[in-house]
Amino acid sequence: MQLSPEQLEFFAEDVSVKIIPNFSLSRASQGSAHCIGGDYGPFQPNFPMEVPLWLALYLHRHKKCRIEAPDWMSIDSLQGLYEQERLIAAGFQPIPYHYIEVSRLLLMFAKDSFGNSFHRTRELVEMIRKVRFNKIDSGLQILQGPMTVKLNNLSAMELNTIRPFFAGALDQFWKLAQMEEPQELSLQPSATYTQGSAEPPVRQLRRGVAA
Amino acid sequence: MASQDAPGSSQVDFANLYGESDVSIIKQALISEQVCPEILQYQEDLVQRLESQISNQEATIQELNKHAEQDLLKMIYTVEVQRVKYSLRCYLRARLKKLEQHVMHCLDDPEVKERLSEKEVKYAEDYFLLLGQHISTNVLSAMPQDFKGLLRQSSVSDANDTLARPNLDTHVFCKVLEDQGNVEVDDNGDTVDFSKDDLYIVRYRPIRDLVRDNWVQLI
Repeated sequence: MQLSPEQLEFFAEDVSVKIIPNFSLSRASQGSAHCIGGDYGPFQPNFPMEVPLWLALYLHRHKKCRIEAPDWMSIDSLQGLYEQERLIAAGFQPIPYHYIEVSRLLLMFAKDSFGNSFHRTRELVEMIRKVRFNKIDSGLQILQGPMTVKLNNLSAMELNTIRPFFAGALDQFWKLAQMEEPQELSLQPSATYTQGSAEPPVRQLRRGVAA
Repeated sequence: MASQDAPGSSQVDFANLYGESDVSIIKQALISEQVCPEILQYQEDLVQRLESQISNQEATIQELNKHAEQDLLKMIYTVEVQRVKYSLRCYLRARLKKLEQHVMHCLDDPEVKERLSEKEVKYAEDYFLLLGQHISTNVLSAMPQDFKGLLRQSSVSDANDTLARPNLDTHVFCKVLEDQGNVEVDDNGDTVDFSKDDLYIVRYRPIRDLVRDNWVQLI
């Protein structure tokens, strides 16, 4: 079963980000929020601190904090990343696992975190996404036969997007490879030579199914 | 909060060795359950711990209702409880879905049945009963004498052969949590080097044990 993009976004909301709150909580809870997933706080006005993204977005929506864009989302590092990604054709650059989801959420709901560089940031993220997807595409095109493939530095959304196709193709390759084996063990190997030359691919398949 | 284990519980909880909270453990459990072809071991302790933490937190929220000045804190707690509940629901649903798909297999194979919770076994049995009745009245009753079996294709079959089984040869994405050295991924003895933090797409069957023992994580 596939994970849905909404679920991935939900998972991405556990990534921690830096916020600058403009409120404090009452003394009764020592100024902190004691959540099931951990304690967050103490919140003090203008005192930067780390909280999960879901909490940051919630507070931001209620005008209770300013979210600081993560370091990797600065123009400089995105620019550098983009160039590296284009320069080095083999493999992928390390990037936060949920970069697509996090950047989408921040660019959509916390525009003020980016100030003047908002449009440039959005553009760069989009460009990086495209370069990477192009690489994935060309990687998938050379796929042949059953194999195990290393996918280091791919992100959650990228993996999930190629999952149905990639896993499906490998499943089929595997199935076909399993079918070819009985042919090698065939009792009449000569038959393959004499008749096989006429229409080899069809023959191979038919034998496979029968076996 | 991860250490609310019942005292004297001898079961080693590997996930906790990484110092994760129950919330992130259920998140991983739900991902694994959704992408894994077969039904995995039910995380009884984890679900129990989370359920009690949710009801504790809900009691806290009730308490906070009396103090209007703590509205913000109350809302933060409410949002989080909803998130945890959602994870828990997704986890249980993913299991039920697989249970329905392979209901006969789950009840037939004692090793698989072990992995279900009591409630899931009950659910599976009820479901199987309904499904069996439905198929018997609508399909099997119209079949020739030798082909009336629910579990066997014909009376000459030597084993239960109508059971849908999960296909363990499907490919899954996984992340390596600890160095594993060379792992055999093929019957021909082909190996792949599994180093920490590597991501792979690999056939599920060869890494089945690694997933069960938490050396490799499904993603």
